[in-house]
Amino acid sequence: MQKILTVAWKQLQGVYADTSLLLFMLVTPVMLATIIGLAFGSSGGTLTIEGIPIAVVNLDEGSGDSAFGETIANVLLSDSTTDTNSNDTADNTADDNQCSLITDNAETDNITSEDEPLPTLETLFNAIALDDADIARAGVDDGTYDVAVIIPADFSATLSPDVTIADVPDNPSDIEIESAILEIYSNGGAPIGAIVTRSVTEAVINDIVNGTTTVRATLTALFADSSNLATLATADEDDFANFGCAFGSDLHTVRLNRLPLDDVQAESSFVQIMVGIGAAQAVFFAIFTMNNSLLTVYNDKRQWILQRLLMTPTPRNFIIIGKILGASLLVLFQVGVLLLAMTVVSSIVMGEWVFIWGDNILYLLLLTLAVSLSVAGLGVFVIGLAQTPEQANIFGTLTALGMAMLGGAFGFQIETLEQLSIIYWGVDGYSQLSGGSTDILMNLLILLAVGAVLFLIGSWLFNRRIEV
Amino acid sequence: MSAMLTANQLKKTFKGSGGKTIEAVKGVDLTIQKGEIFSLLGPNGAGKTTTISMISGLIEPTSGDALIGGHSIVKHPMKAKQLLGVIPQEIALYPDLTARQNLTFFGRMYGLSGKDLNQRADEVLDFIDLTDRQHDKVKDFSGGMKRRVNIGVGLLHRPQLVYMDEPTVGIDPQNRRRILDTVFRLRDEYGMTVLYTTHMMEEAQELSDRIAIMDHGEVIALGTHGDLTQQVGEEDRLIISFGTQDMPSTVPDLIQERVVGVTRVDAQYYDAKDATQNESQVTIYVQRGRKALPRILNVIEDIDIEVESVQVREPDLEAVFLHLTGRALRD
Repeated sequence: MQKILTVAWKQLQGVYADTSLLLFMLVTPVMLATIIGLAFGSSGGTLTIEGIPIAVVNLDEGSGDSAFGETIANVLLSDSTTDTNSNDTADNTADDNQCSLITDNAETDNITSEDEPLPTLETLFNAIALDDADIARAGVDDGTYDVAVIIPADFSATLSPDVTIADVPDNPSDIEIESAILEIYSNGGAPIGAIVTRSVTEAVINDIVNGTTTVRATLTALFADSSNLATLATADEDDFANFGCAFGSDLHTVRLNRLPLDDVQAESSFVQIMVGIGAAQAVFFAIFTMNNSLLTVYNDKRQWILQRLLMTPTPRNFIIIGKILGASLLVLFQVGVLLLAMTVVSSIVMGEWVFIWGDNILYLLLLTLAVSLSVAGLGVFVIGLAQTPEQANIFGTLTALGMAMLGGAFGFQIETLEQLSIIYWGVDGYSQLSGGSTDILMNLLILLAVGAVLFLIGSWLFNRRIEV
Repeated sequence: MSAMLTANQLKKTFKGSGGKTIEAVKGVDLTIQKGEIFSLLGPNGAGKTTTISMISGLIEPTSGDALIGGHSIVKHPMKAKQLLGVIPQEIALYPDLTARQNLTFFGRMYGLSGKDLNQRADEVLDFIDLTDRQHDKVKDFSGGMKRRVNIGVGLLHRPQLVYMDEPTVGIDPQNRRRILDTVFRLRDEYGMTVLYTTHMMEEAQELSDRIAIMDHGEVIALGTHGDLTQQVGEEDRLIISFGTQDMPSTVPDLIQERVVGVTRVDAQYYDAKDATQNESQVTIYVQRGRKALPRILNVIEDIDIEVESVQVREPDLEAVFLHLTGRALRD
């Protein structure tokens, strides 16, 4: 272990001793993100996100008397306009809804801004009801809509628990409820503004549709109260028709917290851009750092230091692991410092302390660790793939730029291909954490999986490269 | 005396371009006794470095084995490497680290730590006479000082066998002398065994208890300096140059016929189109060359050709190599 740590220490020491490299690693990304933030976001001002054009396609066929898709569609379509070129479904859904979900909203919202109230869903979205998912997606692609929310035909059926009053189990939480999947279609190549609005929409939708949790909570609340059970036992068909309202009320309660929406809305446009672009720049430059750090193996070989190390009683794997460990720690340190530096810059611009990465430090650390490991895997793969330091330099630069272009480091993403970039998954994770959501399990898994696969292949190749 | 290093039929083959197999080392057998200074002499490409690379565990032998202090480099490489100190020809140091940091870095790679490591570093810094510069970065050192740190790193863990690869290449005479003295100190004061590779016969002659001469991947001669020079007899070599004059082809035969004691005469004829034959000369192998020289010059005077220079070379390792291979060591 001492030998691995010794090699890792040397990797770190090399960077510490190189002032220009330190500047490149730590200052350049912050400067770039700050410049982009100041250029595209009015510093300190609030980005007004209103009237986000979204298309809502409700294909839900309902389940018995339940029509959860309709409930959600109505929430989104409240006070909406109707696309006259399509088959209108809004006028015969919103009016039929008896729950008035939105009406209460303004009265109970926690309004955090002292000067002006936060926008309600009516002002936030300019929602259009469509009945064809393909038309909605095409509308997103051509820029008519920022987002299309497509509710699948089996949405209610999936959400509805397969139980009757008679066979309700003693513990309602035993009821198995499948997760329903909503499609939120967006354009990865859209400009920064659309990416922000997409995040807002996703945050709202996440709140509205919290699938099994919400239904389970509703059922639990119902069954826990004997009076409710009594009511349910004597309920007629019309009462059960209101089950959607029960769902909706509970949903409404959840949505009333509106934390993700509030967080996103309360942030200035500068901060929003710092989160998106800053995180992307951090990961982008981390890839460079990783490659640069691992490239030292070629220097060591040229200076005969590697050969000398291999002549010591140190297994070859220890040397490889030490080098990779050192580079990974360096990347972890770099990303950590950059996240902190961007918070400091945002706070200076905002005139008050703003921790822009959300309040869940544990998830933030986990994501940063996953990003670092993923970058490490990519670096090992790139260095292992190259046969000369020159090739490694070229491969490393191309990989970093490719990941950046796909993943949004330059303010845009390339649709469908974006998910091939670890930058995308990193930025998406940081954006979610910044917005108050902790739904980053997929991000963590993908980053770790990609990192592990690339690491294994790269280690094998890397081992061959240090043959002398 | 017991063996510090034993190489048994060490062989290394590489795949060359076009899939051709290149035999870099063709089954080398060596035994180096404890406390011995042993030189491996040979021209570039002779297989010295490949042999040492196998012995030091840098590359795996295609076949054969070597034992360092009884530990097989194939079966127990870590134990074998622990006994070996490596002083490469290259300055294999981190230039951005200080002399002391370099020593402690490599010391840790040999498993040293704590007080022991610090004490060894102090000792080595004293040995290489760099205590007062220990906290300076290596990149700020002169070439000779870097060489000394390079040597120090190889000695820190007190190895029983020290491998020094042409440690005097590219340094001034003063530092060269210092390094050669260091080699003697390692043997005489610390009882270390030294394996020294060089292509400079003067160094090998001065330092070595025994010498192995390698060529084309094989050990072609092995023994003490005296043993090896005996292989070419007691003959001196007289090299007589005629510059760009055309030398008659009868010269070698005339010398061999008319001068007693001449055993062999090699001739080289001037050819303006061939850079390797930029002068005419004869190399005469004769016993007691200085005494035979006047008679040889008399023969040449009769041929009516002017002598430009005369060299008398007494038996040395160069002559041994030339005798064994027909080529000069530095070719």
